[in-house]
Amino acid sequence: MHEGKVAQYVFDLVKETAEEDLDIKGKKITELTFAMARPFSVVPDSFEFYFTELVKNTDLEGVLLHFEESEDLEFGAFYLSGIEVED
Amino acid sequence: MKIQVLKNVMLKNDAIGADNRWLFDKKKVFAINMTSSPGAGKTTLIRSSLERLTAMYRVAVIEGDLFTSRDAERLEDFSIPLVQINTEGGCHLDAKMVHAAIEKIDLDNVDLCIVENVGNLVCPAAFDIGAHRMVLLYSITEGEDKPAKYATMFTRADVVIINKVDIAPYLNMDLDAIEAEVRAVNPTCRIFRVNSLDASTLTDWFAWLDSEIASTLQA
Ligand SMILES: Nc1nc2c(ncn2[C@@H]2O[C@H](COP(=O)(O)OP(=O)(O)OP(=O)(O)O)[C@@H](O)[C@H]2O)c(=O)[nH]1
Ligand SMILES: [Mg+2]
Repeated sequence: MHEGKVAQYVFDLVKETAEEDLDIKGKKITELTFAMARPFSVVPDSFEFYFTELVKNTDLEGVLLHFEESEDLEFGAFYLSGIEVED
Repeated sequence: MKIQVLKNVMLKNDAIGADNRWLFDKKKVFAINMTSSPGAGKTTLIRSSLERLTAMYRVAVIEGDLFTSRDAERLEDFSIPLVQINTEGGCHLDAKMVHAAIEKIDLDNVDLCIVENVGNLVCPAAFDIGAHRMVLLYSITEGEDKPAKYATMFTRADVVIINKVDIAPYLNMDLDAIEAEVRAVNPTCRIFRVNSLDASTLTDWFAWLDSEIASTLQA
């Protein structure tokens, strides 16, 4: 139920990262990867629903989302772990 | 081209939570995040505790609720700083909302800040609001399987208060079995058994608060 807010956090984080990282800046972002640790604090389907809605009519519209389980991160963690850009 | 990053998404919230905790520490305020499913008894416990607590400490309460101010109204006869947060449908308090609320409180004149979160046994676990301890009320009417089913909340709790023990006989509930279910997901939390309608059952809860407040003041 809190995934709408988490989607906003991700949107802001991606924008900031794209500004700071010269490999990303100005390029079209095509995929985002997330690393999450058990017990999951975000439900991927629900997150995807809100995120898709949020990015409509923005540069991120149409971006693909991938979720990977991680055993290295702390309990319940939800990290942005990869940004795929067009070459 | 894939660019590897490793950025904690929840830091958007948690960084503000850390600011709140810094502020509480600086002002020597002990802050607790009271969580539970709807109706487990958070406001009842706060009410029953306030008589004793306000005699000893300067207490402030932040009430989180979706739309109403009914819980805050139940505490109005105590003359304490009382701030209502309405989440307008949101299922949890986040650090930013709590930050806005503590800005309305004169923390220089507070020893204990109690934050009543929105009744929800899932979402509040994901949002650090900057309290020092998370207190989870677990009403025995919810059934003994809740710690296993809602493990994230139970694992994050520093204190689990088993509430409504007065009606255990009617529910045919074995309180030792309930406590064992809590222990199975959280071996280290403090566990108290209370009837929130009867302050005489709150002795251990008060003793825990006393020691936590004392160490905050000494820090
Ligand atoms: N018998 C009994 N009833 C209790 C006890 N604690 C709370 N109640 C009752 O349970 C109901 C819900 O209590 P509240 O204090 O409003 O619960 P809450 O957790 O604040 O509820 P929300 O804020 O709506 O999530 C009320 O009718 C209380 O009187 C208890 O220890 N024993
Ligand atoms: Mg309440």
